[in-house]
Amino acid sequence: MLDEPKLDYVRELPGFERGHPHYFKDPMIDHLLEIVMLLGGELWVTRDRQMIVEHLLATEGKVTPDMIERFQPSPELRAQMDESRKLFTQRVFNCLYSQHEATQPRAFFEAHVGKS
Amino acid sequence: MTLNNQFVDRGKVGNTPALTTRADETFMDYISDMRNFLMHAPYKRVTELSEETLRRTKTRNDQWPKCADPVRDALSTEPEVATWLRAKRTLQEAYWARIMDSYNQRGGTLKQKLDAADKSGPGSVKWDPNFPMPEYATVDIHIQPGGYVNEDLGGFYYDYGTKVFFGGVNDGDARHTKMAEKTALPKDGNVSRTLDLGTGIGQLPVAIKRLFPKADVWAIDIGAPMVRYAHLRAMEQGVDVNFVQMASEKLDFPSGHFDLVTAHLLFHEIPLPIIEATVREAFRVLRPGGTFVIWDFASVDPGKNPYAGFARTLDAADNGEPYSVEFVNCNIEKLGEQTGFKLRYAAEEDIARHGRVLDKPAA
Ligand SMILES: C[S@@+](CC[C@H](N)C(=O)[O-])C[C@H]1O[C@@H](n2cnc3c(N)ncnc32)[C@H](O)[C@@H]1O
Repeated sequence: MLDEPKLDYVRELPGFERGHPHYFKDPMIDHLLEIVMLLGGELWVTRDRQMIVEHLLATEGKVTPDMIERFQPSPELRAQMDESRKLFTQRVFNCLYSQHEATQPRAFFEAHVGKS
Repeated sequence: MTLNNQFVDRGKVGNTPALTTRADETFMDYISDMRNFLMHAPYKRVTELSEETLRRTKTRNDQWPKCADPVRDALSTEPEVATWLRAKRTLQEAYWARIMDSYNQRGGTLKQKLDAADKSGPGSVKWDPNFPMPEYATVDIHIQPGGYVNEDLGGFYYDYGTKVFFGGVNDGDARHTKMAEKTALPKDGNVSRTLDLGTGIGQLPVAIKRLFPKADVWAIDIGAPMVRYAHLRAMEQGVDVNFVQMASEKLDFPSGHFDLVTAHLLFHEIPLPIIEATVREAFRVLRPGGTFVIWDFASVDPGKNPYAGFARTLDAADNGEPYSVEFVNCNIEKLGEQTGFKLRYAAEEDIARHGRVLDKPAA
């Protein structure tokens, strides 16, 4: 039923082996962009923790690592944090794309995996 | 982590176990935003630019697998497209890495949960440590390290990874629930036994079981990590589904056994000979009058513009989906009909809405 030899070709397909593609002629540009994107994430993690620490100090008068891990922001605070994160990424990466009409995430998925 | 090295239980996000630390989850929120901002938002613009660039450099995109490297090279001359591709790849690698690091920190506990679930219900799971794994299935699909088959915690990783991928659109399994609700049924309306192929973490059969509580619901996947996790996830929701590690091209079920067979996003991840065998197997295990519903990427028109579609090619090559180009070009609608099915809807908009609905003629 399963004709294995007919499947030998799959080994040769691009994507069968995990490659390390780069997208600029000079791969150092890829590396730099990657470093910047990842640094942005680490910086955001610190900002988020700082917001929680300040919030806990203001509301509870104390803070422990455990309190930070268990912290669940109220819907208002959550929305505020989401908003400042969006602002943060937009400010930092503003030079890319921002001047063009944006595709909404739903339209992107529908183009990729069909309507739901 | 607390000072005494214990992780606090951070609960779940919808049906997905939370990451181990607040920092990991925050990092993932950032990745989601970046995907919206750098990938989704400029998609239209980047698609137009890439087409212009390929046309200008006379780089055809319709000769898979030969075209992958030339297309990538040509697009490296257009910085906005190259940046888009870089962002896509980096963000994808970054979320897998962080998700794996995060769950692995409490990997022992998560493995114990899987072991315990293997022997508990509701529902069941059957898998085999000596399963004869075909080579084609060992690819790191979506560049998820270990893919669907090689990491014990692969189901956990996939769950959080697809949550990030869908950027909120599938939170609480909303997308799968909606798909289940609109699944085309056999014309006589009888649904007492159903089968989901390539079930992943089992979101679709769980939603189907909720809609048809009396039905006997089965789901198979080639990856043991997937069926084990799918069973744990269904069990935690109190839903009774039977998961089995099995290849869709070699179904261990009697002929004429099921009323409804479904496959959501399986077909673009299997090579053409396996696609063909799977359609034959679905036909065999369905009863006369039964229905096979396939949701997947749209088929590509053979007379298509040779400079369009860069995203499919580079997704296949750089996001570990090496068979997806074969799938979009294979005309699954016709293949279904050649196997003996009747295609219920042929119009493109209907297919986008209902998937490919294939009816096995009533006896
Ligand atoms: C993209 S996932 C889709 C999961 C699920 N259907 C969903 O809607 O989220 C594809 C799944 O198909 C499985 N798969 C790949 N080849 C298979 C085969 N030959 N037989 C059964 N399952 C297979 C993979 O292990 C993976 O879990």
